[in-house]
Amino acid sequence: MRTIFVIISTVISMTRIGFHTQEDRGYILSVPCKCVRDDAWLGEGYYFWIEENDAILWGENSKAKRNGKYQIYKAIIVCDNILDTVFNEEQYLFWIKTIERAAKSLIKNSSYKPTLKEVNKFLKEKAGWGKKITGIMFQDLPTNENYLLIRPTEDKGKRDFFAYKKRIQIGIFDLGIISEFTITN
Amino acid sequence: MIDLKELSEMLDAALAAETTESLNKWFREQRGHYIPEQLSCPEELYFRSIQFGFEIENSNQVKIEIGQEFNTIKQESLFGFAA
Repeated sequence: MRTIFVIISTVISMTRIGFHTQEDRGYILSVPCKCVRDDAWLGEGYYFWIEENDAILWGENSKAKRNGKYQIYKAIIVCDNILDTVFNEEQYLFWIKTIERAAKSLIKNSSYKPTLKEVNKFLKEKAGWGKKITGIMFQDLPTNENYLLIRPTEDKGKRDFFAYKKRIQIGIFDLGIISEFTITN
Repeated sequence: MIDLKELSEMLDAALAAETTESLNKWFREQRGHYIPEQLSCPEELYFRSIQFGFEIENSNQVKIEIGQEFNTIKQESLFGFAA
């Protein structure tokens, strides 16, 4: 049944392979772990990197802190209802406009400046987006020297990096769009 | 297929449904500093409780740590206003 689901969803849907990094707890996960950190880009959700190398770097720089070990899992993700702010221009412009509109309104009508997590939670729960979209794809542009192959320019001690490489994640709200979740390392 | 217009309308509706009071309450819940409504706590007192680290005991008294002991003091004697 599972195989049929994978075949059908691969044929008729837009799918991607994603990579999920976790600390090595000494056992193999059957489902991804939900991220609830306050600084999570897209609020609470199941996070997958699009590039395996980003998953490895995240493991080395973050998840291996406790015992020096980390795990990487891969999965097939059905992206039909993922808000794509990375490659879809219309959805990117919509996302920027929405974040700023929501933040301005929340600031104006309350005593608080919202955090990233709060804006995401407001959209997902108060505005009901969690029922309409299954996740959000987002990116940043790291300037970590170990990440980039182009040497930074230097002028009077100031270093300028050419951040040419997108680091892309999907924050998934609905586990139902994930299949074939398996460990890779 | 994602309907951006529908998402936009859902956000509009959510923002329109909120009042300053309900939003402030929601923010406090998110940040773990929920104050029960029955205390009718003035906003300024709430912010000062975070700033100075005292506990709100009820609608007209707070607990404040002096040395190693907690003492109950009337709000107005602290900040010059009554709850």
